[in-house]
Amino acid sequence: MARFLMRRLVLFILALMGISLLIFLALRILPGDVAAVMAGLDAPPERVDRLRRQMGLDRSYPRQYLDWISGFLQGDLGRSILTNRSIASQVGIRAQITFPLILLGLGMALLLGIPLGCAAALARSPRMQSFSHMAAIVGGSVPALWSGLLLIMLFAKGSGLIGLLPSQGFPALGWAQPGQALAALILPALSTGIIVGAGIMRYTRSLLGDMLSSGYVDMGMACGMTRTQAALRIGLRLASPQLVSVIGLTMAEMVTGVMVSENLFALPGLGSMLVTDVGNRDLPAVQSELLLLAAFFLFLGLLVDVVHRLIDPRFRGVARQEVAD
Amino acid sequence: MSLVIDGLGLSIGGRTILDRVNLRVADGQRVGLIGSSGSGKSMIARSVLGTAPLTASLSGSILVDGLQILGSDDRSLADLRGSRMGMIFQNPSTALNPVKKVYSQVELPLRRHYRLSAQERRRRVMEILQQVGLDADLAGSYPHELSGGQQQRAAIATALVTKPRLILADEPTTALDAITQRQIVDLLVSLVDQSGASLLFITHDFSVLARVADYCYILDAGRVVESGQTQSILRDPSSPQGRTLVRAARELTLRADGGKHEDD
Amino acid sequence: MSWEHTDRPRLGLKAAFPGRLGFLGRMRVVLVSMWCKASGRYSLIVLAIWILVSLVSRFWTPVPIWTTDGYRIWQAPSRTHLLGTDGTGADILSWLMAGSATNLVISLLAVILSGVLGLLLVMAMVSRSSGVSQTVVVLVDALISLPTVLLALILAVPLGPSIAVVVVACGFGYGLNLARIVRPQALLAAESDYVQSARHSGVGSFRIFCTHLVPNIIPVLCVQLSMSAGTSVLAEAGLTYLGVGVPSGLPSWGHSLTTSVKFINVFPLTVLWPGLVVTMVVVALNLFGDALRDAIDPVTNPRFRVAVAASGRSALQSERQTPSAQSDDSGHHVENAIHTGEGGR
Repeated sequence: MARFLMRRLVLFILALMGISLLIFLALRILPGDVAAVMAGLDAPPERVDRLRRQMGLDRSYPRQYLDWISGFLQGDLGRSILTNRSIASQVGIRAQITFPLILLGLGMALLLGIPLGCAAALARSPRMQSFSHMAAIVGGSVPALWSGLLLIMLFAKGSGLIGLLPSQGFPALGWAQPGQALAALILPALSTGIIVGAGIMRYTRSLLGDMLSSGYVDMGMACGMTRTQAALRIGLRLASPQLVSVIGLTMAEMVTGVMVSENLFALPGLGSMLVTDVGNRDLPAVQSELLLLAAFFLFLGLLVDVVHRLIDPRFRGVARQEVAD
Repeated sequence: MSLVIDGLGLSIGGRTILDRVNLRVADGQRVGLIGSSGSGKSMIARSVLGTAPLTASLSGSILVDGLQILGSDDRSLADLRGSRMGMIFQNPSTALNPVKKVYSQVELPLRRHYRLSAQERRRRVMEILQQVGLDADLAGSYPHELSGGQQQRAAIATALVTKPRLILADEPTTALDAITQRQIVDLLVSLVDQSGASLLFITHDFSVLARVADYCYILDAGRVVESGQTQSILRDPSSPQGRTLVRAARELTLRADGGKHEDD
Repeated sequence: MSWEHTDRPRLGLKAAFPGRLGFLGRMRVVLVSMWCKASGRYSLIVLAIWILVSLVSRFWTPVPIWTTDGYRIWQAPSRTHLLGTDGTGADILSWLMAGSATNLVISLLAVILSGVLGLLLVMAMVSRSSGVSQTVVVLVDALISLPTVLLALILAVPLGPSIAVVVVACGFGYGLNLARIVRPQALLAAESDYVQSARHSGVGSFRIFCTHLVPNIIPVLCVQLSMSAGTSVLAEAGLTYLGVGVPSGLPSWGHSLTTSVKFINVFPLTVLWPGLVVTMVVVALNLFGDALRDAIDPVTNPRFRVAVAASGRSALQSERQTPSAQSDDSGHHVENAIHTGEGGR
């Protein structure tokens, strides 16, 4: 385990360095002069020059890269060219919307997907099985934008058929008004949660279905468990390593959906910030935000791998043997 | 405990797997069920336990001590499984729960069916482990740390720890090498003899069967094609399937009674 | 992979495509088998319509897409505008038709890119040099958790919104995913006896890969690539809405969805159509892969046996005579392998 952890950690750092280089280069190899583009079409040359210096574009590439990375590691993400505000503080504020949104969406997806998946795997009639199979496929095939729009049309306060929940914006005081803040996140979270939940339902159904035809569940039943008990206590437990991997990947997959719903529901989160900054070509902001997100997801991948190892007895056995040797 | 199977039919998705199977195991009797792979042997055992696949549709009747298994709800069947019926699977490495230690695996039927103190459970588990010939210190290991023979011993211990009156053994030796096979079969027979339970022993190998059962059924493509005293069938099988199986057993025995045969 | 996984390797090229049937004969068997199942029939119909409409829309749409009429915006469905008009007075149906061509191109390119990348990675993963294979395995593990949209955003800064951004971001992400999912099957085949014997008789690595490994992973490839095509349709919609996908002005389904968003409260009906089209196509692509996998597998598809027997040579019959429970299970296992990793982005 220790060796695995070391190797995985080294890899995490290497991958992060690779990504940072990729981001850096992608943002430097622009066709045309960023500073000129940013300054506007008919800006005077001295203004373009000033902008270029301000963005550090007059220095050599290695120098720029090192400055950026060393600043990043010290928590200094730089300043936005357009607003001149500290990017770190902006990210901090906006993360308070995005992360609760992701967690809420994921929570809904799990609450929806795992029980339904189990029920589908344990369904007795072939008709019920194929129905749940189709429901999962259709649910996972809906574009996030569309599910968001449909939810707005159904449940948005004011305009929806059953006006229940707010569908635009976030309370000005943020989490100081917890009730309103949560209410503002429910529809956006649901719009991605349904789709991701359908995906998780599909995996759960298929994994548990395989477990049901394995000997482990039979053995549990032979020891006196009912089929449902054996499926949930033994089958689900044994499927959990794969389920964790799937959920980890699902979180990465959710990001597109989360960004879409942030924009659709006018939530000032990280996603809408990133999209705005990319649109404005705000270089320092874009590169720091991208790297931050990349680091987050690479770390998530690391975490998933570690958890997968911890709950998979096969690896536990290997670790034991390593110790014994 | 007696087992009476009458006209058992089983089909999955329109495909017939078992076709009007009749089979009897009297109280305390050891009966063999033999057939080539794919003949539906395992499905009979799973039907008796009430663990046939969800998609299977069953017909006919299975009586265990006069109790109708088919159509009973899963909860009351679960009360029988592991207390009055024990099951031993073909491949212990895909049956023993890989995340549980041997001790808690063997303890499971006791926990499910009886309210016993922890010490009493421990005493019984250790007793049965000793009876199947597993060292006490192996109780703390995970299944994948054991050899194939040890795994099957642990599985037998799990099946027998509650002293069931009917034991179903589904090819318990197929996944093992020839020497271990013999040890496991002898162990099983002696334990069943001691407890006086009934045994339905499923196999595809006459040379194993002859050591276990004095009466046997031959199954082919979901049908019982022949039944009778094991010795008389061995001497003079009347059905072509029986002849094939007997010939295969003879050839194997002639060839120095050994060699792995994992043709399943 | 779960630890109980004991999928036996398949039998190489000849078994994957029974050679006695001609190419057309095989295609016929595959298509007929797909057509006979409801899900296969649905996917074939939807995909055929998709391709047909894409071709037709290059030459003809009910209303030329650049025809806008300031006096006829937000029209309800009528005889001239079957699905109504949008906020610029453009015909919604015509835009959807024209968009299908763009989406078809994006999906095809993304699938090709991911297929090529995935196969290259798999080739490296099963290479006999353990340095290469281990490096690639851990590299894929590390990069797999990067969201597609992040890559698209990185690319969108220099390239601006464009088809290339969608194609490269999707192709890269799905390619990694493909490699990760296919690896266990490929490894199983690489360690099989027939590959060993081929190796001993001096067949080159690349040839072994093409003739022995690829046929073994074809079932997984079918499902995975088809699903990737579906996901790329969804990705296009999302990325275009975020302003980093298809540039505005170019018709695409994402574009149609995006334009309908702004006035959703006033004209909810316009939202319905593009979403419906996308969902139907993505469902079809999901089902297509499964149906194709079942249809091309000579082991589980009985029609192959019938067809081979009908052609007078029953070479395959003898080895496939026992349709026991086993053969069903193996198909199931492949499905498991696929679903496990289909986390697919």
